[in-house]
Amino acid sequence: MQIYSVVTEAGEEFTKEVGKAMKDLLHTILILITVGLITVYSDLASKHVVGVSLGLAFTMSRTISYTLVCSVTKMQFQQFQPSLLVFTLAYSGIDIVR
Amino acid sequence: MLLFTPESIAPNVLTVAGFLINIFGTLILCLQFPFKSPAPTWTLVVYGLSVFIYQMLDNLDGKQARKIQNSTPLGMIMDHGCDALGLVALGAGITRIFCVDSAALFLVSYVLMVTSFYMSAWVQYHSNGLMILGRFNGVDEGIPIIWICAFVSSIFGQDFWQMPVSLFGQTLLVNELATYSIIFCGFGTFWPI
Repeated sequence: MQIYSVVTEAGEEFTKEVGKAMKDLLHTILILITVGLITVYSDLASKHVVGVSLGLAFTMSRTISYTLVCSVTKMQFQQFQPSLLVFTLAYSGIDIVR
Repeated sequence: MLLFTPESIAPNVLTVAGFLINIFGTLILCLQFPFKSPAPTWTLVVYGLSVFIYQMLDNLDGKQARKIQNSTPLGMIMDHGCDALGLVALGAGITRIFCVDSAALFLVSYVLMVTSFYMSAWVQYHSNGLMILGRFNGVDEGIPIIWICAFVSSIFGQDFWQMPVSLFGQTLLVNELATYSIIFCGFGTFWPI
């Protein structure tokens, strides 16, 4: 719903390479899966809600800042950053190990 | 406020000052342990004030830049980069104010908050710098809600968020209701009206 609405609002200005743009959203799906995993299959989220939300916030704030830098400098955006991989792999890994 | 701001003050100084004040208020609020217990009233007042000042300076920096004709891409990165980092502080502040019990509900709302912000950056990247803020965006609606919640907590106590409310035959806690509202805003934020 968010994607449809934001693309509609951008209108003509939105890039013609829609598929490429959509690929940049893959990491948000990874984050959603990770948060879903730790919420449903473990007690990590209930016991350490502050830690999880802070980790999520730092990961996303890094991604957002990087997207802005890429937007201004016309650099290629790389969505799979170390912070994201650490967040997803560490939390999913803890789930599997436990 | 713009009238009282000297032209010698650079917009980026306002941005960074607002960000640091926000972090300062959050540290004071969140350093009271244990995290799920009620915070002292004065910390809630300081936090509410710090978020209010942060919002004011965040809005002021762009206007100051246009006033002194010093709008730069670096300023834009500084402004939104500080906002992105401020998300960390705001997230921690909300958790502390609401004394959240339902981690799942809170995390869902928080994911929606940060993805809404990411959507703005994403569409900016793919639309030649076009910035789109949602109908219910963090800057105009989200931040005032946070400082209002902080002041409400300081007046009525944080037990206020644990009060049961009947809605459509369902009994919910006030903090659950507030979190559902955040979820609703997160989904509907970019909906064209």
